[in-house]
Amino acid sequence: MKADVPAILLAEDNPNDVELTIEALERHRLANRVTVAHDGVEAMEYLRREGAFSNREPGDPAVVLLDIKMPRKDGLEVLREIRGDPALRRQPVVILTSSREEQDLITSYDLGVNAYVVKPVDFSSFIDAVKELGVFWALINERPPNGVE
Amino acid sequence: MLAVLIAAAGYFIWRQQAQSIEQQADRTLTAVGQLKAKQITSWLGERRGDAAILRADPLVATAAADLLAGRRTAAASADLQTLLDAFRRTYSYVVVVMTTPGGRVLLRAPQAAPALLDEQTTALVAKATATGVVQSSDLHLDGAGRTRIDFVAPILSPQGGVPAIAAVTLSADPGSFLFPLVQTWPSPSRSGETLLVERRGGQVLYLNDLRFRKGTALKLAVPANAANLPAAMAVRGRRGVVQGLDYRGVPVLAALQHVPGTPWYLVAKEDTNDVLGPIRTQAWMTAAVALVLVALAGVGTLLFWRVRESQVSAEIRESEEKFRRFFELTADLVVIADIEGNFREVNSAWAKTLGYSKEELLGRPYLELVHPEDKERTEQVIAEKLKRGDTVLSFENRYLRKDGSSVWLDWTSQPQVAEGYTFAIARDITERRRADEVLRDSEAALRAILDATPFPIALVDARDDVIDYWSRSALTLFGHTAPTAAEWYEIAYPDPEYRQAVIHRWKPLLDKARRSGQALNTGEYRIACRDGSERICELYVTFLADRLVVTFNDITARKHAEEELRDSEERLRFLIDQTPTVNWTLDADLRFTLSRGAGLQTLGLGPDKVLGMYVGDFLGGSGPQAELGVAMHRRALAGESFAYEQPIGDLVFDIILGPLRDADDALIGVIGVAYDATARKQADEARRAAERKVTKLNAELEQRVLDRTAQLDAANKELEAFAYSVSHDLRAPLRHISGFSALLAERLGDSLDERSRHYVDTISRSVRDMGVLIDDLLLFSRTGRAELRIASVDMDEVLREALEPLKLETSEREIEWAIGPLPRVVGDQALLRQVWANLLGNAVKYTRGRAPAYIEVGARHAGGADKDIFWVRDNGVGFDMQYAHKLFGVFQRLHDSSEFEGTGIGLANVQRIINRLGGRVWAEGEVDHGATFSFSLPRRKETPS
Repeated sequence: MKADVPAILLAEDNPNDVELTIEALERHRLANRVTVAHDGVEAMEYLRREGAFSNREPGDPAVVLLDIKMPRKDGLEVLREIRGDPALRRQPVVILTSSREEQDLITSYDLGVNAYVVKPVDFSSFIDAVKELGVFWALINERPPNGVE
Repeated sequence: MLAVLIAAAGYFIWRQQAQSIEQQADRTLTAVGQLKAKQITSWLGERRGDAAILRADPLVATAAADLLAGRRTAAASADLQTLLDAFRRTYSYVVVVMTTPGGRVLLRAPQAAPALLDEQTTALVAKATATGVVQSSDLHLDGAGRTRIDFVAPILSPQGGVPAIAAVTLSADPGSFLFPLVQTWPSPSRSGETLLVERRGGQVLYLNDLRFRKGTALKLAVPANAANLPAAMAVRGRRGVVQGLDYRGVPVLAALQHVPGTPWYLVAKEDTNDVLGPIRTQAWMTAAVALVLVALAGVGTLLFWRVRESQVSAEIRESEEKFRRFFELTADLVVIADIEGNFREVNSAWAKTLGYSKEELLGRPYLELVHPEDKERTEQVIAEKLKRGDTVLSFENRYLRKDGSSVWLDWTSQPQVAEGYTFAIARDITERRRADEVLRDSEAALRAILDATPFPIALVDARDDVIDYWSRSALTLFGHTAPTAAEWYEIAYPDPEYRQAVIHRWKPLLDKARRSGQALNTGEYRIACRDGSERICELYVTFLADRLVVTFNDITARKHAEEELRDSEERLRFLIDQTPTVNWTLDADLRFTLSRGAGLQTLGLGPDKVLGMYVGDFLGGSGPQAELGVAMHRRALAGESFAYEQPIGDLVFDIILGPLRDADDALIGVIGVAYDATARKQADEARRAAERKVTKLNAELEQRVLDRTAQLDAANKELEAFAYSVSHDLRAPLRHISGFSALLAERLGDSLDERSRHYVDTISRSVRDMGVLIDDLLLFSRTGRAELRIASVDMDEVLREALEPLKLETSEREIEWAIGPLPRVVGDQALLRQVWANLLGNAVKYTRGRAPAYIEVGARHAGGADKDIFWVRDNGVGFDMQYAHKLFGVFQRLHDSSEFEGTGIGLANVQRIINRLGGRVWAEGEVDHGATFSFSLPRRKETPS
């Protein structure tokens, strides 16, 4: 793990959710390691180091927290592109969404998501859920090896 | 003295011997004469018998009558010629001639015989035909100088009565049989002969050839008053043995005899020298011996006797030798039998005829050789005639040959009672008997032929109505016959009225048949059989002279067949006339030969109105209807059978056509049936139109269903999109409210007073409740839309799945669970889990205050076991039944949410699920006394999905 590469890419269009999520991660000293993409297109540009992110430091995040309902390119499309990209296909991805729709669950798992978490409405539950996700994926989980080619 | 004594003794001895020899000669002559006379009588009797057979033969009579009347002359003539030829051959006649009573020759055998009768025979024919009695002629010479004797048989007309219509003259040659019979001499003799003589005027006529003078038959005649001529003595009436001079002037000893039934006399004679020769020789020898005795005076009497004896026996031996030689030469069987009936002497003819040697026969009882079937008759004749000394003539019986076959013999036997002997002569008549049998057999064959014909035949004597003969088939057919016509009427026509009618009809027909002489069909008669049944016969009658031949032709089967045919035709006619079709036949020119049937009314026609009309004209003469009809009828006329539709005017007929054939299978016309199918065709058309309409409606309906389904699908899609928005977008602001109010409370920290903290908590709780509400609403929406996954479901397992999280949640509470076994059901497993989770969750929730809480789950069958009912019962707060109907409404609650949390959607969801599965939900309860929630599910077959 390289210290200058953000551990978590949060793809989330709603600024309230971004604020609450970061608030939750802050409480575990993980906030400085979060990069936010405001839609699917931005998320893919970040991962591929394209567009606005063409000059970013090389390296992949420990985990991508992916909202489903986003403008331009939704979460499921992003997941499909990641899994279809040889350079990204081993990237850990967790869906973090308000949707309990069965169809969303099925599609996500079919596309090879690593976890699916419904955002709890209750704030303390939300804090707990995000905290555990951050700790697990950024600190506990072992990343896939770099240089996937 | 000795010489005198010797001479006297010698004379005495000679005298005795001479007498003995004379007596022996007398007896022999007498016996010969009697035998010959009987044999002649017998021969004549046979010839008259021949003639009598012809006289009595109805076939001859019929044929002769036909011939004379000019009917069937060729056939009659051929028949008669065959008969005359056969007769001549069989009985060895020289000539057999059939003549008219006037002596005109009709037929003769052989063909070479003279075509004219001589005067004498013509007279005899006239006498025979006039009297109807068989006549015989004298022995006479025919035109060629040959000796003949004729027998004339009158041929009576078939009706009988004199005068006869014809005569048959049988001309025999006496030289071939009669004369040899007369001349043969049964004992050995140098001079023995028999003469047959007859008185003609004052003359004695010698009838047969003489032994010592040839060519005398019927030529030599001497005066009847010649004193010493034995023949003359015989015609003058002398009988017995006489001495005289014969035609040669030689002294003879003769036995005189009349032949009974004839003008003939028989003379059996032998020269006196031959008879008395031994006596003279003896006299000479006796004298010589006496002289020698006297002269020598020393020759002993004994020696004399010895010489004498040997000499006498030598003479006798010689005489016997001659007798024996003749005895052996004759073809007749000659026998001498003793009183016990044993053979004592037989000639060699016996051995030739019977095959036994003389030694085998002698001493044997002759009855042993008599054919067993003739033994009784023979014994009768022995007892009644021979034992009493009566002569037996023309007795016929059979003797067995050594090889087992038999011989017919004709006996003439002369018993000599006093001496205990019987002299007998027999002739082999086997051939003659065989000829008789042939004749009898031919009659039997005729009978057999009649019996073999299947037509019963009766022969009736028309004079007395006696039925002489019924053929066997009569008995077979009728089961009974009758001996007279009257009795036959009784049994054959038991109904008196019918019998009278039959007789009334029958009599004039018989007269007609008799007049015509032809076979006549007298019509049909119903004849009663023995078994009670009835035969219908045609009776043919023919007269043969006085004989009526009735032939029965059984036509019962034919009559019955005719009746059946008539009945069957009546039935067919009825059917043809009454069926509601048109029925017709056409000839080969396609013209109507029949048109009938009730269906004709449809065409406005009556039966057979169009006979003779051409079918094309019937169909309008021209145009497509006529062309079609003619073409189809031509097809049928070519041999095809088929059905087609024929329009006639405005009507349409279903027509079936077929060919008509004659007995030889040749095509001679067409037969057809037509049925008016117009109404049916119209109905068919209407039905087809209706079907088209229904099909169109169905198609429209289907399209409408498709349209509606598409609309429904679209609505569902919209609803889904809405639900998605709700779940996602509605929840986000809630989360933000919750999050930021919590962050606000944190920032304010200890500076937050009690009241402010309460506000924040309330915001937080409200947000949570709304989240639950949104989740429940989404779930409720999904249960209404989600596709059912119907399968067999293990309710025990589903219940366990729903119960497990509840038990975890309520681990601190005191709850008694009573879970009964549940049946398998057919349903959607996920939805049923929701049902149980809801009901059990409610039970847990509303028993919160109870310690212990009691929750029971069970199931039972109901509704004739076609559904299962499940229930959850608790001892919780219960409810007021007054509001029971509100339990299952959305957002309906019976309790304060501060008391029992909840959205009021759970039971609505349960009801929606159970209804979708075809069941029903209901609840019973009482405030503070618990509640029971029940639902039913129909039992149904698991449908594979």
